[in-house]
Amino acid sequence: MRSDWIISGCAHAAVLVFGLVTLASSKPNEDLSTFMPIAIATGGDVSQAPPGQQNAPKAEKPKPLADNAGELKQVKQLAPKVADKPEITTDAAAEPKPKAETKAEPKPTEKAEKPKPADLKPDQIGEKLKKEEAKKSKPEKKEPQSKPDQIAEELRKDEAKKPSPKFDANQVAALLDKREPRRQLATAETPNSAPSLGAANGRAAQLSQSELDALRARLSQCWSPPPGVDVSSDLFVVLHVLFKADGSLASEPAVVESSTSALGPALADSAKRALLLCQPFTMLKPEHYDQWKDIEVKFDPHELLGG
Amino acid sequence: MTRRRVLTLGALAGGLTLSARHAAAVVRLDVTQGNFQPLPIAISDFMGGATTDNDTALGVTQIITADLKRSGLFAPIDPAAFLEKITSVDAVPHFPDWRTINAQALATGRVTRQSDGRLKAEFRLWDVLAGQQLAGQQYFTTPDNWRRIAHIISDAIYERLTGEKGYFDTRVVFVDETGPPERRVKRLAIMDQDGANVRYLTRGEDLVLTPRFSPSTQEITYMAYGQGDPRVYLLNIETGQREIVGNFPGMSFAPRFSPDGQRVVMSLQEGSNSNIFVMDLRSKAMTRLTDTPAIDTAPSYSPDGAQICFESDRGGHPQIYVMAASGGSAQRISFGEGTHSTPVWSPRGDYIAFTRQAEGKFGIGVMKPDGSGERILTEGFHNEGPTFAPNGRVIMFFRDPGGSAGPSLFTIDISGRNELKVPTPSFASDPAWSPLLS
Repeated sequence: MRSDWIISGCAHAAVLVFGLVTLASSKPNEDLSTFMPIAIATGGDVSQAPPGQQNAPKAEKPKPLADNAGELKQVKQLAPKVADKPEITTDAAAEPKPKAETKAEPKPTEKAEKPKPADLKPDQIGEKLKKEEAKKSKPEKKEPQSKPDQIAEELRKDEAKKPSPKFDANQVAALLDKREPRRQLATAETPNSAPSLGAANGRAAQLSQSELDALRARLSQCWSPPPGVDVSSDLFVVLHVLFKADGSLASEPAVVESSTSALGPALADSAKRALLLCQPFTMLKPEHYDQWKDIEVKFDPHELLGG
Repeated sequence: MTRRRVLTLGALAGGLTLSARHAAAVVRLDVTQGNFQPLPIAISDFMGGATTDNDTALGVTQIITADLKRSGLFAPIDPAAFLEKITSVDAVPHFPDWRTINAQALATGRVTRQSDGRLKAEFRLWDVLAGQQLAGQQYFTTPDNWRRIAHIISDAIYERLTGEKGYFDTRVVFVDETGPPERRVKRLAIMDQDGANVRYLTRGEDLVLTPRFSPSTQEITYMAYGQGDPRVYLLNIETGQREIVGNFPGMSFAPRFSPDGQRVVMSLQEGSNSNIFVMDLRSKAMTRLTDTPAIDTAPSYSPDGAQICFESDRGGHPQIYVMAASGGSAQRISFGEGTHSTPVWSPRGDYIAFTRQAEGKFGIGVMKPDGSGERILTEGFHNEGPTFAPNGRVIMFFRDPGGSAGPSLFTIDISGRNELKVPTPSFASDPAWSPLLS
């Protein structure tokens, strides 16, 4: 009894000592490169976003989408507004109706949202689907007609059909309708193909990095540097290039900066030849023309030199 | 505290955007990749001023085309594809016709025999893509020098389009070998770099080796086994006069001129070793540069005359060392695999070419003067004896396949591309490239 206690005590002590000694002597991982400095963000930091530029110019009224010049005629946005959901009454029979009304409205302009099939019975669906096959041809024929009339018509139809169907047949039709969403042409005083909410000179539509990469890749294909480039010299040339809207050069590229070297003129010539040879640069998108019409290209052969 | 921090962050961000806006709105693109492609060039037949000049004009066109094509940097377009026929060297070509056949440059020219008997050759070089003239020049010479004029025009075109000086108006001195392997007759010979105009300088009674051009005068230095020990000789190309360089006991070999042409550096045998000496050609004074119990040989000056690279086996095997031109301590610069020998300094000063022997293979390579960047340009059995073209961009060497066949001369671009055989009347070895003649 006593000896058992002693043995147990010794064993416990041994384990404790072992742990103290070995674990204490092991060094922590000192590889600081794996450390990532973090700052603890408080609730205030997160909720109070930086106020931004104090003296930013006032944003203009957002320019609406306009495909053509004409009198102001706007169409609804493709995504339905979230706020417009009408109240849902508790009456089960009346439930499908409000859903049907809101859903029929954007039907000609978009694919309808899938109706909740929770309260639909399978045999009813089958019946209605058969009906819809016949009805579907009618809405299709009516498609070329003006859409607002159709919307009104649908609404009236729905109101008439109100009592009998548990769900809206048009919903299913819309579900079955696999056509691309279409809309009328929007017109305004001046055509504006890129609707934006921001300022007119805002850089919302940016010249993408992939366009620049594609241009760089094309120039690399076309550029044959003079063979005599010397590794030890810091040889380079910067050309100022003006483009026309179709991607071809507006004028002969001008040298704006070059290293002082006997090979300078030959390098500049080879760079100009690359630009002249491979125009037009069709990978540059016309809608970003304002951003790529004036580019400075630096030709630097150092990566090519094997030494 | 938090709010202040957030505000300063915001102000900083605002400040940054402000400064970014004031920076140039111009997009900047860096192109660092490309492909070295031979430049497609159209060389229109040179016109003869009179019908009697037509043959010469055609010959000039062919030489220019061959020169540019052999350099590996140009791709002359087949004349059968030309759309426009150039009839006047002064009229502006119709560039769209040349763009259609994908020419990027166009050379036109005319050769006319003058009333005083001289030959006038003129050319124009056009940039087809930009639609403007790049170069235009006219030359006068004696009629039998028409090949040199063609090479000079090739050099002008080469220089304008690559930025480098050309190397076409040069000559090569070499050892011409004829006869069966066991009884080879070796004669000193000189020719144009394209293989034309071969002339023999010695008659073949003596065995001759390692001829080298003087950089400034029409002289060659070489080694010949006359009666007795091999000796270093000086030969005047124009007069044919020959003299022994110094009169030393023992063998002397591997001579080379200094860049100013006033001195010859060579290797002298002393017992079982050899050391490097330099001799002033005017005063005939000899100066010892190395003093080691090893074989020091194959010295070569740097183009500024300040340093000498040479081959030495003081470390056990032949390797390349560099020392000051006045002698003194030498640093080893070759540390690659195998042995390194026959070093020669590029006229541009940026490379030293050498012969490397490793695992039974012989390679011609280049390295920077500090020993870094060692690159083997060609390998096989048995490559040896590199010599640089005057622009430092092409190397000529000889290759001996062994057996009953004899050695031949080859050229290779310093990038390792475009290895070509040089046409010689018979077997050839030990080439040395002259400086530009013009």
